[in-house]
Amino acid sequence: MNVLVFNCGSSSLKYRLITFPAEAERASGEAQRVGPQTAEPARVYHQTAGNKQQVHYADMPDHAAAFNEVMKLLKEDGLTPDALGHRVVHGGSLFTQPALMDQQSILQLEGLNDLAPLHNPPTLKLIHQCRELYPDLPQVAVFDTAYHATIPDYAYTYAIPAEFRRRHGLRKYGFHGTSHQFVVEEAARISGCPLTGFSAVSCHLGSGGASLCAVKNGYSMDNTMGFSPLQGLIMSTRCGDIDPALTMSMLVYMQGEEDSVEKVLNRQSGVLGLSGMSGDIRDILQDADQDESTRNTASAYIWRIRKYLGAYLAVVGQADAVIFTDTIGEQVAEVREAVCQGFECFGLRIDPEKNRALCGLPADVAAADSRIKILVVQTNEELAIARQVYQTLTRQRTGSINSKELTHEPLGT
Amino acid sequence: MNRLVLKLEPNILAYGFFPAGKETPAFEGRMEGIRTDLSMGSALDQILSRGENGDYVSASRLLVESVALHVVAGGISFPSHAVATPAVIENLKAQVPLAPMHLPLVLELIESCFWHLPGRPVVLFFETAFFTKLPACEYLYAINTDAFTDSGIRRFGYHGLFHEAAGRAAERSLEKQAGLSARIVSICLEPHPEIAAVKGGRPVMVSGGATPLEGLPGQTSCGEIDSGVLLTLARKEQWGPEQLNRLLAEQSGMRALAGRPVTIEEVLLSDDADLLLAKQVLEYRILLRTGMALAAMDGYDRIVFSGCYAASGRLLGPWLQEKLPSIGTSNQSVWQCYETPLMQIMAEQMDRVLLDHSKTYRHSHASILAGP
Repeated sequence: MNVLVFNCGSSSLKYRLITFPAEAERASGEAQRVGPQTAEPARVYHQTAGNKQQVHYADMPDHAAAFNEVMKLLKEDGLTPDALGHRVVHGGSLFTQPALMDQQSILQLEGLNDLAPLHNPPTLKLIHQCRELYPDLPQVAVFDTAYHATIPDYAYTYAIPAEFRRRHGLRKYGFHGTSHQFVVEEAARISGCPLTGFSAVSCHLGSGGASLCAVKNGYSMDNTMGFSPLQGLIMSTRCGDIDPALTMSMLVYMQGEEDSVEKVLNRQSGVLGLSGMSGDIRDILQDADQDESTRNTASAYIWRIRKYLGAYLAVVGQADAVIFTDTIGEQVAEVREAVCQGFECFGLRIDPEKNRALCGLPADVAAADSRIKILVVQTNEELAIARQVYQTLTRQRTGSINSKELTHEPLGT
Repeated sequence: MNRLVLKLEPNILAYGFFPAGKETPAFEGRMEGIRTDLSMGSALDQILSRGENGDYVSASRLLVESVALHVVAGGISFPSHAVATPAVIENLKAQVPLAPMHLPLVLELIESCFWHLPGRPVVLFFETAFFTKLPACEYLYAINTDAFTDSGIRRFGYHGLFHEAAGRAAERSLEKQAGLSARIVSICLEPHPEIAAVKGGRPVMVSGGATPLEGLPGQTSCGEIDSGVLLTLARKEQWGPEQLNRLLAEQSGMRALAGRPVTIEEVLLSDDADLLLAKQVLEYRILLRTGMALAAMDGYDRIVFSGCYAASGRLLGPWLQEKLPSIGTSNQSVWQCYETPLMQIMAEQMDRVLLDHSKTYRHSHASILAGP
């Protein structure tokens, strides 16, 4: 079965065609500058297995046009998908598993647009376009929030009146679930542990968004992101945790314009807001000796990760591993070293030399006497989505844990 | 020295009179209806009259030698407790935007003290003073400060007096070797509960934020919450900041989870099914924050519970000890309850603060006696 996976960004469309059950990648690429015309022309970077990347220029005023271009390029290479997979950012409380996008599911998903007004609508538009042009091609949506469906109520509930929680679906959902699930399953396999007995803290540190996930016996029991991706760690341009009174002060200052406040918190805060220089922590680390602002930005970024690592190690109990993944987690040894220092109380100790000399993934960079492994694992969200599409269509949901089968151990005193 | 300790709460002036050398108050109480039924001056006058009519015959007004006044927020301008001199009062006036509901009342109370107790030093005890020493990585928020009128926004923490005193008590009980910094997880169980990590007497982490709204959920306050929740409520309910503030500060926390007004103590001690979610949410958040405190200090030597519900620590302590990594004393308790009330903490520190002040201002003694 050829599964074509789409990952819809605000002005891009990433794709990957993978053949199952061999999990062989046949083609991949990315349509860039999708949407209104920009200074440079829209283009598709397209590559097939064993061949060089090609650049194909075309007008792509929306994601539907980009989809048409991708399908055209695949056809020219003699590649035909048997199923489509879509990364959907928000599945709310409704979608806790991958879902076949039939008429009813699409309607249900449309009802969640309010939860992710920036991310879900472009994907839905793409799903509609696919149904119109290829009505016989099955489409499966894989949700970033689904892995976190197992977070217990005491961790996902905000302490505000039930009436408002219910009316607007206000609760922690958690994000980056597809990536967390993928690296946790990989880490359990590498460790030789059955997933159902594997506990870890997974650190998805992207160059944009980032979150930590507490994993107990294979299932997610907490995630640093919350109702939206704003909560938790300090990210590239997102603020992470802030005092709610600050959001209210901003509303006062911006005369009640929620969109303006959201723009500041989403796009002008985080590493960029602190440093005033760059939203990329790699730039900041490079200049960290230069001035107080960059030093403070670097230390606040690292400290926030360390805080949640401590919190989640306490929650998980006996962790088997701390996992690092995505751009920063995989590529920046300095971040891994700074994050893991000073956790000997939990039995966690990094080997600085092994960490700096890392050249192939996956790898364990923990010191020999560390009780907890420190695994650096490459994430592959498209492969993870394709696997879930294949499993959904062939009804082979094995290895992963079904949230309905779970019972949480009692927390209380 | 005989000490009168005063603490302002919404519409209430709490007081306690501590005779020289006594740890417990000779009399104490709460005057209600401040500013609604009673001016600050009349309230203070009535407190002093009560003393005169009670066991402390003709005592209080004449025998009050110093006044301790509790101040919720003083910003970074007040890194230590201070005697109210004209310069200090001017500085305090500049801090009013930090706590616009509280500081004007404090200023009014200082004036009343000068009027009714002329010549007696008024010592200001700041809850935020302890947290002016937080490291930058902990106090900084990752937001673009262009979005505010005040660019001095930072994290503070709001139970500095409890954390400092409880931390000291825990340190004493440890008998640490010289040169080794004690690592204390200080859990203050007040209506706004708060956790701090205190290493070598200095705070290195605290759950409270720029205001007491952040951190652990309280009896009526929300605690940590996604900014997206506020923006959604603002959009969907068409609420302004005042309505949001009322919801998050007065109708949230344990009250919202329990569906009725309830204290932190009741939630922690109850086995009532109606309180289960509230109890689990609070315990879980305490565990998370304790884990953060361990990250700040690479472990801990002692957990200490303080605040008006400090006794609930007898239930939380063993539970936390079981959840956290063992620290090599598995047969011994690694937690303790510090049940000293806030007013007593202030009264105990009076002499020291006055001594420090007189050392600093040895040549300007008159400034201590600033009055109308």
